[in-house]
Amino acid sequence: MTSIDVKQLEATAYRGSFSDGLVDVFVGLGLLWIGASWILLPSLVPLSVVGPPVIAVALFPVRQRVLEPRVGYVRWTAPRRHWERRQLVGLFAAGATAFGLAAFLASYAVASGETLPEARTFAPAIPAALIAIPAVAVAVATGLGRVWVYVLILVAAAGVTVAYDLEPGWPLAVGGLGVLLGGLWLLARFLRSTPRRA
Amino acid sequence: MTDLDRLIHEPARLRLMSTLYVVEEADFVNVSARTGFSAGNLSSHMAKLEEAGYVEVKKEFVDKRPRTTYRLTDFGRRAFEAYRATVAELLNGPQP
Repeated sequence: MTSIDVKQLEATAYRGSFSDGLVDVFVGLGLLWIGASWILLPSLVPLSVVGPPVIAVALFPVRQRVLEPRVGYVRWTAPRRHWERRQLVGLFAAGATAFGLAAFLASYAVASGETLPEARTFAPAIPAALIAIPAVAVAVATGLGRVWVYVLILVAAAGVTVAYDLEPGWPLAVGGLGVLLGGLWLLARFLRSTPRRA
Repeated sequence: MTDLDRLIHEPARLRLMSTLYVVEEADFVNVSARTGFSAGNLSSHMAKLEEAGYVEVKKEFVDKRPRTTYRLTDFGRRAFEAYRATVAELLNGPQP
Protein backbone atom coordinates (compact mmCIF):
# COMPACT_ATOMS: atom_id res chain seq x y z
CA MET A 1 0.00 0.00 0.00
CA THR A 2 1.53 3.30 -1.05
CA SER A 3 -1.15 5.56 0.41
CA ILE A 4 -4.17 5.45 2.68
CA ASP A 5 -7.05 4.14 0.57
CA VAL A 6 -9.97 6.05 2.11
CA LYS A 7 -12.51 4.69 -0.38
CA GLN A 8 -11.64 1.18 0.70
CA LEU A 9 -11.76 2.21 4.37
CA GLU A 10 -15.20 3.75 3.90
CA ALA A 11 -16.57 0.78 1.95
CA THR A 12 -15.29 -1.64 4.61
CA ALA A 13 -16.77 0.47 7.43
CA TYR A 14 -20.09 0.72 5.59
CA ARG A 15 -20.28 -3.04 4.91
CA GLY A 16 -19.35 -3.61 8.55
CA SER A 17 -22.46 -1.71 9.61
CA PHE A 18 -24.55 -4.65 8.30
CA SER A 19 -22.53 -7.29 10.14
CA ASP A 20 -24.93 -7.51 13.09
CA GLY A 21 -27.50 -9.42 11.00
CA LEU A 22 -30.57 -7.51 12.22
CA VAL A 23 -31.59 -6.47 8.69
CA ASP A 24 -31.38 -10.13 7.66
CA VAL A 25 -33.59 -11.12 10.60
CA PHE A 26 -36.13 -8.47 9.57
CA VAL A 27 -36.15 -9.48 5.88
CA GLY A 28 -36.21 -13.19 6.77
CA LEU A 29 -39.16 -12.80 9.15
CA GLY A 30 -41.01 -10.68 6.58
CA LEU A 31 -40.59 -13.24 3.79
CA LEU A 32 -41.42 -16.12 6.10
CA TRP A 33 -44.56 -14.29 7.24
CA ILE A 34 -45.77 -13.66 3.67
CA GLY A 35 -44.84 -17.17 2.50
CA ALA A 36 -46.49 -18.86 5.47
CA SER A 37 -49.63 -16.72 5.02
CA TRP A 38 -49.77 -17.79 1.37
CA ILE A 39 -49.53 -21.46 2.31
CA LEU A 40 -51.83 -21.42 5.35
CA LEU A 41 -54.34 -18.66 4.53
CA PRO A 42 -54.27 -18.12 0.73
CA SER A 43 -57.38 -15.94 0.79
CA LEU A 44 -55.67 -13.45 3.14
CA VAL A 45 -52.44 -13.06 1.15
CA PRO A 46 -53.00 -9.34 0.36
CA LEU A 47 -53.29 -8.70 4.11
CA SER A 48 -49.96 -10.43 4.77
CA VAL A 49 -48.08 -7.38 3.49
CA VAL A 50 -48.85 -5.65 6.80
CA GLY A 51 -46.50 -8.18 8.42
CA PRO A 52 -43.14 -6.61 7.49
CA PRO A 53 -44.01 -3.12 8.85
CA VAL A 54 -45.24 -4.75 12.09
CA ILE A 55 -41.98 -6.72 12.32
CA ALA A 56 -39.95 -3.54 11.68
CA VAL A 57 -41.73 -1.77 14.53
CA ALA A 58 -41.19 -4.80 16.80
CA LEU A 59 -37.46 -4.99 15.97
CA PHE A 60 -36.82 -1.28 16.56
CA PRO A 61 -36.54 -1.64 20.36
CA VAL A 62 -34.18 -4.58 19.81
CA ARG A 63 -31.90 -2.35 17.79
CA GLN A 64 -32.14 0.42 20.38
CA ARG A 65 -31.53 -1.73 23.45
CA VAL A 66 -29.26 -4.49 22.16
CA LEU A 67 -27.30 -3.12 19.21
CA GLU A 68 -26.86 0.61 19.82
CA PRO A 69 -24.93 0.14 23.10
CA ARG A 70 -22.51 -1.98 21.04
CA VAL A 71 -22.27 -0.14 17.72
CA GLY A 72 -23.20 3.40 18.72
CA TYR A 73 -24.24 6.09 16.31
CA VAL A 74 -22.70 6.99 12.97
CA ARG A 75 -23.76 9.45 10.29
CA TRP A 76 -22.30 8.56 6.91
CA THR A 77 -20.96 11.19 4.53
CA ALA A 78 -23.33 13.08 2.21
CA PRO A 79 -22.17 11.13 -0.92
CA ARG A 80 -22.86 7.82 0.86
CA ARG A 81 -26.31 9.00 1.98
CA HIS A 82 -27.11 10.08 -1.59
CA TRP A 83 -25.87 6.72 -2.83
CA GLU A 84 -28.16 4.95 -0.32
CA ARG A 85 -31.15 6.97 -1.53
CA ARG A 86 -30.35 6.17 -5.18
CA GLN A 87 -30.04 2.48 -4.34
CA LEU A 88 -33.40 2.49 -2.57
CA VAL A 89 -35.07 4.23 -5.52
CA GLY A 90 -33.38 1.79 -7.94
CA LEU A 91 -34.46 -1.15 -5.80
CA PHE A 92 -38.03 0.07 -5.72
CA ALA A 93 -37.96 0.69 -9.50
CA ALA A 94 -36.57 -2.82 -10.18
CA GLY A 95 -39.23 -4.41 -7.96
CA ALA A 96 -42.03 -2.29 -9.43
CA THR A 97 -40.90 -3.06 -13.01
CA ALA A 98 -40.76 -6.78 -12.33
CA PHE A 99 -44.15 -6.64 -10.60
CA GLY A 100 -45.63 -4.57 -13.45
CA LEU A 101 -44.33 -7.01 -16.03
CA ALA A 102 -45.80 -9.98 -14.15
CA ALA A 103 -49.14 -8.16 -13.71
CA PHE A 104 -49.19 -7.22 -17.42
CA LEU A 105 -48.56 -10.81 -18.51
CA ALA A 106 -51.21 -12.10 -16.12
CA SER A 107 -53.83 -9.57 -17.26
CA TYR A 108 -52.96 -10.26 -20.93
CA ALA A 109 -53.45 -13.98 -20.34
CA VAL A 110 -56.80 -13.39 -18.60
CA ALA A 111 -58.02 -10.95 -21.28
CA SER A 112 -57.01 -13.07 -24.24
CA GLY A 113 -57.92 -16.38 -22.67
CA GLU A 114 -54.61 -17.69 -23.92
CA THR A 115 -52.00 -18.84 -21.49
CA LEU A 116 -48.76 -20.33 -22.57
CA PRO A 117 -48.24 -23.69 -20.90
CA GLU A 118 -44.78 -22.46 -19.85
CA ALA A 119 -46.30 -19.40 -18.17
CA ARG A 120 -48.62 -21.59 -16.15
CA THR A 121 -45.67 -23.82 -15.21
CA PHE A 122 -43.48 -20.97 -14.03
CA ALA A 123 -46.21 -18.87 -12.39
CA PRO A 124 -45.62 -20.22 -8.84
CA ALA A 125 -42.01 -19.00 -9.06
CA ILE A 126 -42.96 -15.39 -9.91
CA PRO A 127 -43.23 -14.11 -6.28
CA ALA A 128 -39.79 -15.54 -5.51
CA ALA A 129 -38.40 -13.96 -8.69
CA LEU A 130 -39.87 -10.60 -7.65
CA ILE A 131 -37.82 -10.84 -4.46
CA ALA A 132 -34.70 -12.34 -6.08
CA ILE A 133 -34.32 -9.56 -8.70
CA PRO A 134 -33.98 -6.69 -6.17
CA ALA A 135 -31.87 -9.00 -3.97
CA VAL A 136 -29.35 -9.33 -6.83
CA ALA A 137 -29.28 -5.52 -7.03
CA VAL A 138 -28.60 -5.36 -3.26
CA ALA A 139 -25.81 -7.95 -3.56
CA VAL A 140 -24.14 -6.02 -6.39
CA ALA A 141 -24.54 -2.61 -4.71
CA THR A 142 -23.35 -3.55 -1.23
CA GLY A 143 -20.82 -6.26 -2.07
CA LEU A 144 -22.29 -8.41 0.71
CA GLY A 145 -21.50 -12.01 -0.31
CA ARG A 146 -24.20 -13.51 1.87
CA VAL A 147 -26.95 -11.82 -0.18
CA TRP A 148 -25.85 -13.98 -3.14
CA VAL A 149 -26.39 -17.04 -0.93
CA TYR A 150 -29.90 -15.79 -0.12
CA VAL A 151 -30.57 -15.31 -3.86
CA LEU A 152 -29.40 -18.87 -4.52
CA ILE A 153 -31.70 -20.22 -1.79
CA LEU A 154 -34.66 -18.31 -3.28
CA VAL A 155 -33.88 -19.48 -6.84
CA ALA A 156 -33.38 -23.10 -5.72
CA ALA A 157 -36.64 -23.00 -3.72
CA ALA A 158 -38.42 -21.49 -6.74
CA GLY A 159 -37.01 -24.28 -8.94
CA VAL A 160 -38.29 -26.97 -6.56
CA THR A 161 -41.68 -25.19 -6.44
CA VAL A 162 -41.94 -25.30 -10.24
CA ALA A 163 -40.71 -28.90 -10.43
CA TYR A 164 -43.25 -30.15 -7.87
CA ASP A 165 -46.02 -27.65 -8.75
CA LEU A 166 -46.21 -26.29 -5.19
CA GLU A 167 -47.90 -23.15 -3.87
CA PRO A 168 -46.09 -19.83 -4.62
CA GLY A 169 -45.73 -19.27 -0.89
CA TRP A 170 -43.21 -22.10 -0.51
CA PRO A 171 -40.16 -20.44 -2.09
CA LEU A 172 -40.89 -17.28 -0.07
CA ALA A 173 -41.20 -19.27 3.17
CA VAL A 174 -38.07 -21.34 2.47
CA GLY A 175 -36.09 -18.29 1.28
CA GLY A 176 -37.31 -16.33 4.31
CA LEU A 177 -36.28 -19.13 6.64
CA GLY A 178 -32.82 -19.19 5.05
CA VAL A 179 -32.41 -15.42 5.43
CA LEU A 180 -33.76 -15.56 9.00
CA LEU A 181 -31.37 -18.34 10.04
CA GLY A 182 -28.46 -16.50 8.42
CA GLY A 183 -29.44 -13.32 10.27
CA LEU A 184 -29.82 -15.09 13.62
CA TRP A 185 -26.40 -16.71 13.21
CA LEU A 186 -24.83 -13.33 12.39
CA LEU A 187 -26.63 -11.67 15.30
CA ALA A 188 -25.47 -14.35 17.77
CA ARG A 189 -21.89 -14.07 16.50
CA PHE A 190 -22.04 -10.28 16.71
CA LEU A 191 -23.38 -10.28 20.27
CA ARG A 192 -20.69 -12.77 21.35
CA SER A 193 -17.84 -10.80 19.81
CA THR A 194 -18.95 -7.20 20.45
CA PRO A 195 -19.16 -6.04 24.06
CA ARG A 196 -21.49 -3.31 25.27
CA ARG A 197 -19.63 0.00 25.30
CA ALA A 198 -22.40 2.22 26.66
CA MET B 1 12.53 16.53 2.99
CA THR B 2 8.72 16.71 3.34
CA ASP B 3 7.59 16.83 6.99
CA LEU B 4 4.89 14.52 8.27
CA ASP B 5 2.29 15.90 10.65
CA ARG B 6 3.56 14.33 13.89
CA LEU B 7 0.19 14.67 15.60
CA ILE B 8 -1.49 12.52 12.93
CA HIS B 9 1.49 10.23 12.38
CA GLU B 10 1.09 8.61 15.82
CA PRO B 11 -0.55 5.19 15.03
CA ALA B 12 -3.56 5.52 17.37
CA ARG B 13 -4.36 9.05 16.20
CA LEU B 14 -3.87 8.08 12.57
CA ARG B 15 -6.45 5.34 13.15
CA LEU B 16 -8.85 7.83 14.71
CA MET B 17 -8.36 10.38 11.93
CA SER B 18 -8.95 7.79 9.19
CA THR B 19 -11.98 6.42 11.09
CA LEU B 20 -13.56 9.87 11.30
CA TYR B 21 -12.51 10.91 7.79
CA VAL B 22 -14.82 8.37 6.14
CA VAL B 23 -17.94 9.46 8.06
CA GLU B 24 -19.64 12.76 8.75
CA GLU B 25 -19.77 12.12 12.49
CA ALA B 26 -19.70 9.21 14.92
CA ASP B 27 -20.25 8.83 18.63
CA PHE B 28 -17.84 7.53 21.26
CA VAL B 29 -19.32 4.00 21.19
CA ASN B 30 -19.06 3.75 17.42
CA VAL B 31 -15.47 5.00 17.24
CA SER B 32 -14.51 2.73 20.13
CA ALA B 33 -16.17 -0.29 18.44
CA ARG B 34 -14.53 0.42 15.06
CA THR B 35 -11.05 1.01 16.45
CA GLY B 36 -11.09 -1.34 19.45
CA PHE B 37 -9.60 1.41 21.65
CA SER B 38 -10.35 1.53 25.36
CA ALA B 39 -12.31 4.47 26.75
CA GLY B 40 -9.25 6.06 28.35
CA ASN B 41 -7.05 5.65 25.28
CA LEU B 42 -9.73 7.03 22.99
CA SER B 43 -10.47 10.03 25.21
CA SER B 44 -6.84 11.04 25.61
CA HIS B 45 -6.07 10.89 21.87
CA MET B 46 -9.32 12.66 20.98
CA ALA B 47 -8.45 15.41 23.48
CA LYS B 48 -5.14 16.00 21.64
CA LEU B 49 -6.88 16.08 18.25
CA GLU B 50 -9.51 18.46 19.62
CA GLU B 51 -6.80 20.71 21.08
CA ALA B 52 -5.16 20.90 17.64
CA GLY B 53 -8.49 21.87 16.08
CA TYR B 54 -8.71 18.67 14.03
CA VAL B 55 -11.74 17.22 15.81
CA GLU B 56 -14.94 18.83 17.06
CA VAL B 57 -16.52 17.24 20.13
CA LYS B 58 -20.23 17.54 20.85
CA LYS B 59 -21.70 16.40 24.16
CA GLU B 60 -25.46 16.03 24.41
CA PHE B 61 -28.24 13.93 25.93
CA VAL B 62 -30.14 11.58 23.63
CA ASP B 63 -33.07 9.69 25.19
CA LYS B 64 -31.82 10.82 28.61
CA ARG B 65 -28.42 9.23 27.98
CA PRO B 66 -25.22 11.20 27.51
CA ARG B 67 -23.71 10.99 24.03
CA THR B 68 -20.33 12.27 22.91
CA THR B 69 -20.07 12.78 19.16
CA TYR B 70 -16.90 13.42 17.18
CA ARG B 71 -16.46 14.92 13.74
CA LEU B 72 -13.44 16.11 11.80
CA THR B 73 -13.34 19.85 11.32
CA ASP B 74 -12.59 21.27 7.86
CA PHE B 75 -9.12 22.06 9.17
CA GLY B 76 -8.77 18.44 10.35
CA ARG B 77 -9.93 17.10 6.97
CA ARG B 78 -7.40 19.27 5.14
CA ALA B 79 -4.66 18.20 7.56
CA PHE B 80 -5.48 14.52 6.97
CA GLU B 81 -5.51 15.01 3.19
CA ALA B 82 -2.15 16.78 3.40
CA TYR B 83 -0.83 13.92 5.53
CA ARG B 84 -2.01 11.36 2.95
CA ALA B 85 -0.38 13.33 0.16
CA THR B 86 2.86 13.52 2.11
CA VAL B 87 2.88 9.77 2.80
CA ALA B 88 2.19 9.05 -0.88
CA GLU B 89 4.98 11.41 -1.90
CA LEU B 90 7.43 9.83 0.53
CA LEU B 91 6.61 6.34 -0.70
CA ASN B 92 6.16 6.98 -4.41
CA GLY B 93 8.32 10.03 -5.00
CA PRO B 94 7.03 13.50 -5.93
CA GLN B 95 3.79 13.48 -7.92
CA PRO B 96 3.80 15.33 -11.28
